[in-house]
Amino acid sequence: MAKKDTGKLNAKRIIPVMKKEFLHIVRDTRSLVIALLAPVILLVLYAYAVTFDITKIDLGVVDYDHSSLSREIADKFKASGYFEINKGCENSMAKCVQALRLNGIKMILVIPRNLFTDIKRGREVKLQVIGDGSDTNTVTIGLGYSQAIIAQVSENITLEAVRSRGFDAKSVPMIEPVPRVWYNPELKSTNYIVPGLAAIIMMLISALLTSLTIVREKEHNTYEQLVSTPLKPLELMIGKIVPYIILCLIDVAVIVAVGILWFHVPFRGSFIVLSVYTLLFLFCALGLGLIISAVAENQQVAVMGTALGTLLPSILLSGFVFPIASMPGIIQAISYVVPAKYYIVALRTIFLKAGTGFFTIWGEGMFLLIFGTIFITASAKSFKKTID
Amino acid sequence: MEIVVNVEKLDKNFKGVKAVDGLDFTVNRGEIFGLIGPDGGGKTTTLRMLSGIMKPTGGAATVLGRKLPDEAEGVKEHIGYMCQKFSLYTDLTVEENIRFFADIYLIEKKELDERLGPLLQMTRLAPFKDRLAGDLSGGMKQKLALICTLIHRPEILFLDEPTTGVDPVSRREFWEILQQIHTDGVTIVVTTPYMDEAEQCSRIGLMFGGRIIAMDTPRDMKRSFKGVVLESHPADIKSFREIIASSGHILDQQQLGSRFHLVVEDMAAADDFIKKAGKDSMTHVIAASVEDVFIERIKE
Repeated sequence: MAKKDTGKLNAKRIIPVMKKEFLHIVRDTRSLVIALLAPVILLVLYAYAVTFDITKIDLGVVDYDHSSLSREIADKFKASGYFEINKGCENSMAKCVQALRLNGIKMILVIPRNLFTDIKRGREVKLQVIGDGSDTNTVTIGLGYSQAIIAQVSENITLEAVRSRGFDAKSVPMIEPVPRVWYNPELKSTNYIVPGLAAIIMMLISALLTSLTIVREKEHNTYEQLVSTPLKPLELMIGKIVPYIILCLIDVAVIVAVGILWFHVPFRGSFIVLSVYTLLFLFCALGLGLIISAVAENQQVAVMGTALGTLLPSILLSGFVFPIASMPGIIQAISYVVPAKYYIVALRTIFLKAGTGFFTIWGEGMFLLIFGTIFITASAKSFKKTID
Repeated sequence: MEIVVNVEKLDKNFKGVKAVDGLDFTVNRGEIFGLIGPDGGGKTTTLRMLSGIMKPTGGAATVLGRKLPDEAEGVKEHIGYMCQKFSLYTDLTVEENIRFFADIYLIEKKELDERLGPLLQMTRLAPFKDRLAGDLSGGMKQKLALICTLIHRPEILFLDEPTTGVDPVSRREFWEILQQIHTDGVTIVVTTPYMDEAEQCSRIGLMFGGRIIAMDTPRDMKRSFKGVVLESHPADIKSFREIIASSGHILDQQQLGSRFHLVVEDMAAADDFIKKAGKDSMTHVIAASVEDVFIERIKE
């Protein structure tokens, strides 16, 4: 006769579930290879694709002035490295408008007639810079660059005018900002995209792996056999996620190694802090996967559910691309339940800022812990020990 | 006799459809109780409710003195449930599957080692213990599933159509194993669509449309048959069919190759028909089978 069993969790029942799950993972070689390789492939692919460093913006130049000054301005645009001047539509407004419409160029610089003579006469001159509003990202950055270039040209003209009136140019008072960016002085976007991507990829992989594990039991009827035993839902949940936590930890280690060695992202924090926050995050992500699997009836639904429930929010609402601070209040509130948000902050901080300890980002840790506990408990609650 | 399963007015509705409709029966300790009937009769639903994995919509069920569904978890520790479809891990070996379920029932390793040998021997699975469950034949899969439900020495076994889809030889072997388990004192509640398996049970309930339409020992069940069963081996099938058609007494008829299985109301009608059919048809009275009883009851 089976032993008397009280309502408490029993580690003796968790261990066989873990062992069984390990065997499933190890015996399914193809899935195992995918689980280990997919994160690396995704990281390498997307780290190259997702870049915010915009260079070589296609620019059409319409020079109505044809003076030494107008040529100097055009040259400065070219020399900056941010623009590529389109030869095909040079000096023809009609052609430039056409090219802008057909996405051949992104911006048009219009230099008015009499630029040179007006400047010489001491008049104010306006330069027109037209941007393609359908590509706001590129144009916003391009407009910023053009303003800086034109400001520099303008400053040189002012200084020249001062000098020509017999003053020492150096005696003209000016305020010059000296910007410095700490932790990522070159503002290399890979340095913060790679940690962000790592979080998103891990969110997807870990939630997907766990959601499939329970759904597979449903599809193979083993679920019916399991619920007829005294095994408790929470014992099953814990037993099922532990092997996947280990698998995902290996994934994170591989991703971090690729980030450091391949993409040369500086790692200035501590690996211990990284491991602790990764564990907290996986606890959350795997819990979310379990919730999805408790609801989903088959593998297709589980895959769809994980993609919609984890991937999209992780990309859009985590601060990976779009700053959360500039979102409307209600969206900001929703972003609080996106685990990737906390892990992205934790990863970026641990990677880039030296001396990051457990308590530097304790807020993120707390949120991960709270949500992880909620997710696991909710999944155990939604996992019924009946089959109707 | 100790009652180990007590069912009173048990109901189960699925979206307004009555799968089980006011079921009443008891099972005594040490019985092999068979629920026999066609698919869709409510056998599986009944077994699931008694195993504590499905909640009844009405009525009461008690298993080993524990009320269902409130004390389902307590019931689960003392019963073994084997579902209709194969429900073990195909990527685990025979032994790994058994050990997994043994561990879940908190059986000590030493004790398990002692139990495993005899069970593998009884089911003749010992040579296959390192084979993946997915690579077993249908009959072997059922025997493995049986071991997994037996490993914690349950007091009652609930087996849902364990012999469906199994070849005749394996089916016979499976029943031999069940008889052995029965001898060891385990109560067995088994469902089957095969009427001939009724003979293996100590008591049977004929299930149809969510109800038990007859319940008795197989012997008394057959005795309760109201009509008389005749069998004929006519030489000329065509003219024999005409005799059947012209005779007003035939309640049920079935042609089995060149053989005819006929049911008439009473002995007088039987004698009358035998005369009409003539000696050449070799018509004679035979004992009623459980199937005859079943057909008679659903016609009522």
